[in-house]
Amino acid sequence: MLSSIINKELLGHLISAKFAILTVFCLILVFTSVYVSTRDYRLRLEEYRNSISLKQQKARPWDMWKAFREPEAMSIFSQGMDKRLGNMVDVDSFSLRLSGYLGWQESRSSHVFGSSAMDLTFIVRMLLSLFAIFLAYDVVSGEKEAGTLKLTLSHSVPRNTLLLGKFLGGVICLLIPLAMSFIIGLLMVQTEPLVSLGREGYVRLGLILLVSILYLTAFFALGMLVSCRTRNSATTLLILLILWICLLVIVPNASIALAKKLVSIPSREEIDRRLDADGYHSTGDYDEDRRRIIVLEAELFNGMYRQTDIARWISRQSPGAIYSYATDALARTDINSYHRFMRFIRDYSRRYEEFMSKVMNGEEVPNVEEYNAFSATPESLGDSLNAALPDICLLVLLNVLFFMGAYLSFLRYEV
Amino acid sequence: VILLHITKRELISNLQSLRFAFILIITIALFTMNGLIFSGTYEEKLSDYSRNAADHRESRARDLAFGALYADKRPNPLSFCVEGGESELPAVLSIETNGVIKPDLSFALGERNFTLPRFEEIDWAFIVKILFSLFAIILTYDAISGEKERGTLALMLSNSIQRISILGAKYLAALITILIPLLAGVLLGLLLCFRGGLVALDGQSLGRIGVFALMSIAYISLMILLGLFISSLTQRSSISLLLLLSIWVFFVIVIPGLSSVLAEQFSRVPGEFEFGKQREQIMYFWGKQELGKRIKAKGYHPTDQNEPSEEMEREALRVINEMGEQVFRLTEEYERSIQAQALMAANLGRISPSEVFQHTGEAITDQGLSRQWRFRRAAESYYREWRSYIQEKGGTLVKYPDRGYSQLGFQRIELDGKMVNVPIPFLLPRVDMSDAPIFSEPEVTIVSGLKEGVVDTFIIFLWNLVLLLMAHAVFMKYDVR
Repeated sequence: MLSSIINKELLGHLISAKFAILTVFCLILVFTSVYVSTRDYRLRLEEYRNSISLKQQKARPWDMWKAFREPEAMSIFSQGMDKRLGNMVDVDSFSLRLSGYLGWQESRSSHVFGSSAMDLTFIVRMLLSLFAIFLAYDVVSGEKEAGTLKLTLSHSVPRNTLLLGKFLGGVICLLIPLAMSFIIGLLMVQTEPLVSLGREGYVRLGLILLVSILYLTAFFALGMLVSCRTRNSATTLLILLILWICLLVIVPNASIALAKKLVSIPSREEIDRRLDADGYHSTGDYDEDRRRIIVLEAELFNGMYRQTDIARWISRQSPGAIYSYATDALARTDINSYHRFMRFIRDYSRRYEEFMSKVMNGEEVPNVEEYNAFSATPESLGDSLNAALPDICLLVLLNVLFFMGAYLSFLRYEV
Repeated sequence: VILLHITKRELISNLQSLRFAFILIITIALFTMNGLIFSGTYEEKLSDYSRNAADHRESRARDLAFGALYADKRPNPLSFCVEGGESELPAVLSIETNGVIKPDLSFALGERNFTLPRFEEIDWAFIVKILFSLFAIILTYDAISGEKERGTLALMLSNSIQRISILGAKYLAALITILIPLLAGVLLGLLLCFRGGLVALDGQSLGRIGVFALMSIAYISLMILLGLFISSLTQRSSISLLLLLSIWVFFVIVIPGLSSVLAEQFSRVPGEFEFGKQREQIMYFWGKQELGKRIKAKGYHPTDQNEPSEEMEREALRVINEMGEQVFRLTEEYERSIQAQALMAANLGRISPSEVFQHTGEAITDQGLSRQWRFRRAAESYYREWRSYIQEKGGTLVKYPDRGYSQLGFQRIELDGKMVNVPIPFLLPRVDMSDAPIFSEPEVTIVSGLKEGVVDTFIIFLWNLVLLLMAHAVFMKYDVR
């Protein structure tokens, strides 16, 4: 029984014009996006390798205490913060540390096109969620309008089987463009000789696919829920579009604005004033100056992190935000990877201080290259999964909630 | 008269509908949020800007001695209206002594918390371009096909009503319906911006906002006509809605995404890495090989114990200037190719009326790429001013290929297996330079903005006209049975 309902639903979706149009759009966009991000990643990688080799050759003496950050290959699919954070940290100039830790070195062409990342997860988040809504809006209210719902239920079909069949049929149909997108993305990356994802990369991509499925099923279930609570399909679609705008556009932006109101961080002026007043220039004692700067820096950065944390928590009202946090965590381009990288930077800057004090004391430093070599081991798969787990659980929860809601409404649906 | 009558009827039914209530609520939410977000960021940007600009003004002579001048871009008070990538485009340019102008990203304005998650920027242009076009579709998708489904269309046409007046009435009613939330939102947004005098908008800015609102109406009218056209093309309202949403996705997401990729295909930019390599090559060739060869030809020998002669110094200066000139030319070429590519991407994007609207908005509010390039040109003329100023004072501006050269004061080269320091002369006049030129951006009037946007405005009107004719032609032949 269930399989024949699924079959019917699936066929109904597959032969519809909306399926064809949206799939074609989706594939065009995926192609575009992966092309652009792969090229972008390759350029960043080349630049990184070049900087490293220049540092090793000591071609530029001022590079000696610079740490370069390797771009993350998974950023092709889920860019997150990877590009925005730049690729270089200068640990030896200590006034620079306050102006945001990085010597921003984005690729220059990104300033021309704007850096809004249209990566694969963006397409899933914005376009395929819309797709899920289009597929789901008329599953119940549309059948009621057409009168076929009454007909179906006049047979001995239990309502829960019917609903489950509709859900599974729709979800399978959604999986087709999704899977095609991921396959296209993977193939395009494969053809790029410089880019290698590694075995772990495939696992990560597989997990991102899994999270994407969860995200889309949540939207499909939401669509069914609204469809079960309305009498006509046009109203359903309207309500769903409004929800889509609210959840994906309004809530995330509003949460950032709210977080900024809740937690304020010292302004540049204030930092300057305190640096002057606290004796950045006046005490003359190097260690004392340094200590004060570190305190101020800690205050600034902790404020920033708290603000970000709060913004992230509030924005979890939106499934779109939850989805990006989960995929960014899996792609190692999220805030946790950033914190991880910063821990390596702190170690590195301690090593720099050690080095400087040795030099000041006239000690011989045997092999400087080994001393100032910087390496940051990237996050392991387990850690990434750990970071993504709360958001994945939230997505599962949303799925259950929406489906249960749809189920309860459908049981009482007036056919 | 009959037109007015139907318009009134349509309008009332529109205003009573559920979708109108939704549209109104969403619009108000969006404009409120826009006001809250942008009034804060503008203030932040302005204070950063005034600090940077004051610093740079004060230390301009010293900056030049260290190898670079700075030009600061004033943040636009209208960024809440059209953001136009302002926060992404560099706000400070450094001008090196050889004329190379590049973005200095250590002086980013505004948002300091780079760890915050980022989503779509909600400026007025976004609200109109993406959401009001969607609202226009939602209001019109069933204008014809929906009435046909309900059977009211045949009924209406059985009276002596001309088809064209039905179409006209539907158009007017939809336009008025959508203008109500738009105007409410705009007024609310302005109120929030004026609140507490955070953002002082003068007459000029208000004029710009007015023109922007007019352009928004033209754009919304285009989308309404599109909705009517598709609605009269189809027999069922659900099909027309899907078709319209597909077109919307195509205009709003697909074309903007595709245009930059296509532009990259057609107009190649060497890439930063390659550019860097070419630059290093120039530096190596002139700075190491040619410099050594030339000073040797002037009779200098590394075993010489005597001080470098004046003639040799002049020769070194010539080489440095030549090197600086070469680097300048390479950078110019690179910069031009980036600009050409961006221009091509913008032009390809013009297939979509949404992008055309975005460009008009940017032209009117003096934002976006053309603003950036004007800023760049201002930096170029600032450099020329300095050159003549230094000449007047009796100095020369040495064209250092890189800022590092002016700070080092010498160039280390290998000559016959020995390392030699060739002094690089420093030729700024040692006089009081307090009257040196100060960077300023030329004031841009609303008229020049209008001139810049005239082609795009024309395209929007053309779209309106074509869609009107098409909607009319199709509806005339619409089968009402």
